Amino acid sequence: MEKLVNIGKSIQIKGELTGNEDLTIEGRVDGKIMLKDHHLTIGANGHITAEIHAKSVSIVGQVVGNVTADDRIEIAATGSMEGDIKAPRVVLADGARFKGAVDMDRSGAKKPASTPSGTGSAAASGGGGSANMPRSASGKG
Amino acid sequence: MLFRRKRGTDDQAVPGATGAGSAPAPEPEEQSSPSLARVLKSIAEQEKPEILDLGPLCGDTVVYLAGKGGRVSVESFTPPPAPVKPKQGEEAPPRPPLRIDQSDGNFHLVLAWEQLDFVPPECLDEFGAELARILAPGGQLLVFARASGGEEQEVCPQYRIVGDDRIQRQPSGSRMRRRWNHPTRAVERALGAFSIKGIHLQRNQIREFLAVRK
Repeated sequence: MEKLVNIGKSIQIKGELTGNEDLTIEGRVDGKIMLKDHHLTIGANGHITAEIHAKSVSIVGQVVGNVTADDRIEIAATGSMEGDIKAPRVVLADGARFKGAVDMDRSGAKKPASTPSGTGSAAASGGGGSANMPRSASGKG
Repeated sequence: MLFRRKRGTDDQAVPGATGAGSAPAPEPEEQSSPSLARVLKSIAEQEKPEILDLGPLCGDTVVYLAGKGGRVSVESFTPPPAPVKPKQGEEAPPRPPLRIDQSDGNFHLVLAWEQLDFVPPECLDEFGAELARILAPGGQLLVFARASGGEEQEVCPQYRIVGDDRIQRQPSGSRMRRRWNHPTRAVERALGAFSIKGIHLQRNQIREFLAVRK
């Protein structure tokens, strides 16, 4: 069984975080997170102010910064995201809060997104979006 | 009736239905939208169109539009309250300008859905000017407005795009707000910076305005 790696609630990191395994963050990270080829989960208690690049990203907590994924980005119903997201597959679940822009670049999201655009905010109330995925994956019936 | 209910689905909650009361949530109303089909066909010919969804945000719609190759921004537009009428002999209190927090000429398509109906008549021209400001010349605007009915309190509905010419109108989690019924002439005046390409009346008495920024 693969070991789960966690950054706990009481942990705060400032700087660049890189790794070669899946990671769950429940604490605070300010800076940059690079998890190439691996999955990153921002847990319900996670507060991230960082540019993120990973294979796939699940946001259950709060993120401020641009997020780029080579595979998929999912913002859960409890998730809050401020910044631009770029990935071939995106899921915006019901109730998620999102402020920024969505770019589903089919050619592969290799480059990190540019600086946050400062665009408006919205709550995904009553809508859950997914692409290239079963509809149930977005948390809807 | 704006929100129809299907038989045999009373125990199924509609995503985003407001309130957690015991009343069953209505099923979303699906309808065709020829204007949407036109704008989606048009943006499909562009390399990387910038699209603004003025909400209330529906995740499916954002993903659908992004899947068309567009870069989709979302904006939680909050319509201004109706201006307070001053007492006789008094000046009207200043009110903050209506502003959509987006840069000038940035978008090729703005989907304003039914937000127009929640803008007070006194602010309608200002809203039209803001839409014109954020659209690039030649950019398209799709806005819906009710064709009949009086003023009332309502929740701004959200629209889920389920096909290039198919949309679902459904309740959103937005706040209850005052809703107006703007005459077509008032809408046309507010969209003075646009060339109106078509007004389509839906079966549910919602007018679809398709306009192009001059």
